[in-house]
Amino acid sequence: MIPLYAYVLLAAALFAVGLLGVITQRNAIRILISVEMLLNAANINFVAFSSYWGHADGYAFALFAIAFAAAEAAVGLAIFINLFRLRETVDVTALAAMKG
Amino acid sequence: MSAPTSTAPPETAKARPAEPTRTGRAAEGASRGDEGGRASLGQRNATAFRGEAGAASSRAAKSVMVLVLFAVIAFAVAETVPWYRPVGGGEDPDGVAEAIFERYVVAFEVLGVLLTAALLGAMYLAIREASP
Repeated sequence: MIPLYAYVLLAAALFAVGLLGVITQRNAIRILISVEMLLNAANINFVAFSSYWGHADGYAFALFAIAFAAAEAAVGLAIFINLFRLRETVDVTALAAMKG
Repeated sequence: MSAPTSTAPPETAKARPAEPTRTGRAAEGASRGDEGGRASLGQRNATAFRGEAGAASSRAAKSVMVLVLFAVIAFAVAETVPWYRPVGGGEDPDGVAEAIFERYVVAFEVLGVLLTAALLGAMYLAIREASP
Protein backbone atom coordinates (compact mmCIF):
# COMPACT_ATOMS: atom_id res chain seq x y z
CA MET A 1 0.00 0.00 0.00
CA ILE A 2 1.27 3.43 -0.88
CA PRO A 3 1.41 5.80 2.10
CA LEU A 4 -0.42 9.07 2.08
CA TYR A 5 2.62 11.32 2.13
CA ALA A 6 3.77 9.93 -1.22
CA TYR A 7 0.57 11.20 -2.84
CA VAL A 8 0.87 14.57 -1.19
CA LEU A 9 4.52 14.97 -2.14
CA LEU A 10 3.76 13.96 -5.73
CA ALA A 11 1.00 16.53 -5.85
CA ALA A 12 3.31 19.17 -4.38
CA ALA A 13 6.01 18.41 -6.95
CA LEU A 14 3.48 18.56 -9.78
CA PHE A 15 2.16 21.85 -8.44
CA ALA A 16 5.69 23.29 -8.21
CA VAL A 17 6.51 22.31 -11.77
CA GLY A 18 3.22 23.71 -13.04
CA LEU A 19 3.69 26.95 -11.13
CA LEU A 20 7.20 27.34 -12.50
CA GLY A 21 5.80 26.84 -15.99
CA VAL A 22 3.07 29.43 -15.44
CA ILE A 23 5.45 32.12 -14.21
CA THR A 24 8.35 31.50 -16.58
CA GLN A 25 6.92 30.39 -19.91
CA ARG A 26 5.97 32.89 -22.56
CA ASN A 27 4.21 30.65 -25.04
CA ALA A 28 0.51 30.71 -24.23
CA ILE A 29 0.07 27.03 -25.06
CA ARG A 30 2.77 26.10 -22.55
CA ILE A 31 1.05 28.24 -19.93
CA LEU A 32 -2.20 26.38 -20.61
CA ILE A 33 -0.40 23.05 -20.14
CA SER A 34 1.08 24.31 -16.88
CA VAL A 35 -2.33 25.35 -15.63
CA GLU A 36 -3.57 21.85 -16.39
CA MET A 37 -0.71 20.52 -14.29
CA LEU A 38 -1.80 22.73 -11.39
CA LEU A 39 -5.36 21.42 -11.62
CA ASN A 40 -4.15 17.84 -11.78
CA ALA A 41 -2.03 18.33 -8.67
CA ALA A 42 -5.17 19.41 -6.85
CA ASN A 43 -7.00 16.37 -8.26
CA ILE A 44 -4.33 14.02 -6.91
CA ASN A 45 -4.81 15.50 -3.48
CA PHE A 46 -8.60 15.18 -3.76
CA VAL A 47 -8.46 11.52 -4.72
CA ALA A 48 -5.73 10.60 -2.24
CA PHE A 49 -7.48 12.16 0.74
CA SER A 50 -10.85 10.84 -0.36
CA SER A 51 -9.48 7.32 -0.45
CA TYR A 52 -7.65 7.93 2.81
CA TRP A 53 -10.75 8.91 4.70
CA GLY A 54 -13.03 6.48 2.91
CA HIS A 55 -15.33 9.33 1.88
CA ALA A 56 -16.55 9.72 -1.67
CA ASP A 57 -16.87 13.49 -1.88
CA GLY A 58 -13.27 13.91 -3.05
CA TYR A 59 -13.88 11.63 -6.02
CA ALA A 60 -16.88 13.71 -7.05
CA PHE A 61 -14.91 16.94 -6.70
CA ALA A 62 -12.06 15.49 -8.77
CA LEU A 63 -14.51 14.54 -11.52
CA PHE A 64 -16.02 18.04 -11.46
CA ALA A 65 -12.53 19.54 -11.61
CA ILE A 66 -11.64 17.40 -14.64
CA ALA A 67 -14.76 18.57 -16.47
CA PHE A 68 -14.02 22.16 -15.53
CA ALA A 69 -10.46 21.79 -16.82
CA ALA A 70 -11.84 20.52 -20.12
CA ALA A 71 -14.07 23.57 -20.49
CA GLU A 72 -11.25 25.90 -19.54
CA ALA A 73 -8.85 24.31 -22.03
CA ALA A 74 -11.43 24.54 -24.83
CA VAL A 75 -12.13 28.22 -24.25
CA GLY A 76 -8.45 29.03 -23.75
CA LEU A 77 -7.43 27.32 -26.94
CA ALA A 78 -10.18 29.10 -28.87
CA ILE A 79 -9.03 32.45 -27.47
CA PHE A 80 -5.44 31.73 -28.46
CA ILE A 81 -6.48 30.65 -31.92
CA ASN A 82 -8.18 34.01 -32.40
CA LEU A 83 -5.17 35.75 -30.88
CA PHE A 84 -2.87 34.05 -33.34
CA ARG A 85 -5.06 35.07 -36.26
CA LEU A 86 -5.04 38.67 -35.02
CA ARG A 87 -1.43 39.12 -33.91
CA GLU A 88 0.50 36.23 -35.52
CA THR A 89 1.94 35.31 -32.12
CA VAL A 90 1.02 33.57 -28.90
CA ASP A 91 3.90 35.09 -26.94
CA VAL A 92 2.20 36.56 -23.90
CA THR A 93 4.93 39.16 -23.33
CA ALA A 94 4.21 40.60 -26.76
CA LEU A 95 0.56 41.16 -25.86
CA ALA A 96 0.86 44.28 -23.70
CA ALA A 97 -1.97 46.32 -25.18
CA MET A 98 -3.83 46.45 -21.84
CA LYS A 99 -0.70 46.80 -19.68
CA GLY A 100 -1.22 49.42 -17.01
CA MET B 1 11.60 38.32 -5.51
CA SER B 2 13.34 41.58 -6.12
CA ALA B 3 12.13 43.95 -8.77
CA PRO B 4 15.21 44.21 -11.02
CA THR B 5 15.43 40.46 -11.55
CA SER B 6 11.77 40.04 -12.29
CA THR B 7 11.45 42.47 -15.13
CA ALA B 8 12.86 41.42 -18.45
CA PRO B 9 13.84 44.12 -20.89
CA PRO B 10 10.96 44.64 -23.28
CA GLU B 11 13.11 44.51 -26.37
CA THR B 12 14.09 40.92 -25.59
CA ALA B 13 10.52 39.74 -25.72
CA LYS B 14 10.30 39.16 -29.41
CA ALA B 15 13.91 38.08 -29.84
CA ARG B 16 13.49 35.06 -27.63
CA PRO B 17 13.16 31.74 -29.45
CA ALA B 18 10.38 29.31 -28.65
CA GLU B 19 12.64 26.64 -27.22
CA PRO B 20 14.35 27.36 -23.90
CA THR B 21 17.93 28.29 -24.59
CA ARG B 22 21.05 26.83 -23.07
CA THR B 23 21.12 29.76 -20.68
CA GLY B 24 17.71 28.94 -19.28
CA ARG B 25 18.55 25.27 -18.93
CA ALA B 26 21.76 26.08 -17.11
CA ALA B 27 19.94 28.39 -14.76
CA GLU B 28 17.28 25.78 -14.07
CA GLY B 29 19.63 22.84 -13.87
CA ALA B 30 21.47 23.96 -10.76
CA SER B 31 18.99 22.89 -8.13
CA ARG B 32 21.16 23.47 -5.07
CA GLY B 33 23.53 26.38 -4.78
CA ASP B 34 23.73 30.02 -3.99
CA GLU B 35 21.46 32.26 -5.99
CA GLY B 36 24.09 34.86 -6.80
CA GLY B 37 26.41 32.31 -8.37
CA ARG B 38 23.55 30.96 -10.45
CA ALA B 39 22.54 34.40 -11.64
CA SER B 40 26.11 35.25 -12.61
CA LEU B 41 26.37 31.94 -14.44
CA GLY B 42 23.21 32.74 -16.35
CA GLN B 43 24.45 36.17 -17.20
CA ARG B 44 27.85 34.90 -18.27
CA ASN B 45 26.28 32.42 -20.62
CA ALA B 46 23.88 35.06 -21.79
CA THR B 47 26.66 37.11 -23.32
CA ALA B 48 26.61 34.61 -26.14
CA PHE B 49 22.85 35.08 -26.46
CA ARG B 50 22.46 38.80 -26.73
CA GLY B 51 19.69 40.28 -24.64
CA GLU B 52 18.95 37.12 -22.62
CA ALA B 53 20.54 38.16 -19.34
CA GLY B 54 17.45 39.66 -17.77
CA ALA B 55 15.25 36.74 -18.71
CA ALA B 56 17.77 34.19 -17.45
CA SER B 57 18.28 35.77 -14.05
CA SER B 58 14.52 36.26 -13.71
CA ARG B 59 13.98 32.59 -14.47
CA ALA B 60 16.61 31.60 -11.91
CA ALA B 61 14.92 33.71 -9.26
CA LYS B 62 11.55 32.17 -10.09
CA SER B 63 13.04 28.68 -9.92
CA VAL B 64 14.42 29.41 -6.47
CA MET B 65 11.03 30.74 -5.41
CA VAL B 66 9.22 27.60 -6.58
CA LEU B 67 11.84 25.35 -4.95
CA VAL B 68 11.33 27.18 -1.67
CA LEU B 69 7.58 26.66 -2.03
CA PHE B 70 8.05 22.95 -2.60
CA ALA B 71 10.43 22.72 0.36
CA VAL B 72 7.88 24.39 2.61
CA ILE B 73 5.14 22.02 1.46
CA ALA B 74 7.40 18.98 1.90
CA PHE B 75 8.34 20.13 5.39
CA ALA B 76 4.70 20.63 6.31
CA VAL B 77 3.83 17.18 4.95
CA ALA B 78 6.68 15.58 6.89
CA GLU B 79 5.50 17.30 10.05
CA THR B 80 1.79 16.59 9.82
CA VAL B 81 0.94 13.61 7.60
CA PRO B 82 1.14 10.26 9.42
CA TRP B 83 3.84 8.13 7.89
CA TYR B 84 2.55 4.62 8.27
CA ARG B 85 -1.10 5.00 7.36
CA PRO B 86 -1.55 3.81 3.80
CA VAL B 87 -4.14 5.01 1.34
CA GLY B 88 -6.76 2.50 0.35
CA GLY B 89 -9.86 0.70 1.44
CA GLY B 90 -12.09 3.67 0.89
CA GLU B 91 -13.08 2.90 -2.68
CA ASP B 92 -16.83 2.74 -2.86
CA PRO B 93 -18.55 3.22 -6.22
CA ASP B 94 -21.93 3.50 -4.57
CA GLY B 95 -20.61 6.37 -2.49
CA VAL B 96 -19.32 8.16 -5.58
CA ALA B 97 -22.66 7.74 -7.33
CA GLU B 98 -24.49 8.96 -4.25
CA ALA B 99 -22.19 11.98 -4.04
CA ILE B 100 -22.53 12.99 -7.68
CA PHE B 101 -26.20 12.26 -8.27
CA GLU B 102 -27.70 13.10 -4.90
CA ARG B 103 -25.65 15.39 -2.71
CA TYR B 104 -24.01 17.42 -5.49
CA VAL B 105 -26.57 16.98 -8.23
CA VAL B 106 -27.05 20.75 -8.50
CA ALA B 107 -23.31 21.22 -9.09
CA PHE B 108 -23.49 18.40 -11.61
CA GLU B 109 -26.25 20.11 -13.57
CA VAL B 110 -24.48 23.47 -13.41
CA LEU B 111 -21.37 21.77 -14.72
CA GLY B 112 -23.36 20.42 -17.64
CA VAL B 113 -24.57 23.93 -18.46
CA LEU B 114 -21.01 25.22 -18.12
CA LEU B 115 -19.68 22.58 -20.51
CA THR B 116 -22.37 23.40 -23.07
CA ALA B 117 -21.68 27.12 -22.81
CA ALA B 118 -17.93 26.53 -23.10
CA LEU B 119 -18.46 24.37 -26.18
CA LEU B 120 -20.65 26.99 -27.84
CA GLY B 121 -18.23 29.77 -26.92
CA ALA B 122 -15.22 27.88 -28.18
CA MET B 123 -17.00 27.11 -31.45
CA TYR B 124 -18.04 30.75 -31.85
CA LEU B 125 -14.49 31.91 -31.23
CA ALA B 126 -12.60 29.32 -33.21
CA ILE B 127 -14.67 28.72 -36.36
CA ARG B 128 -13.37 30.88 -39.15
CA GLU B 129 -16.01 32.83 -40.96
CA ALA B 130 -16.61 31.83 -44.57
CA SER B 131 -14.77 34.24 -46.83
CA PRO B 132 -17.20 36.34 -48.91
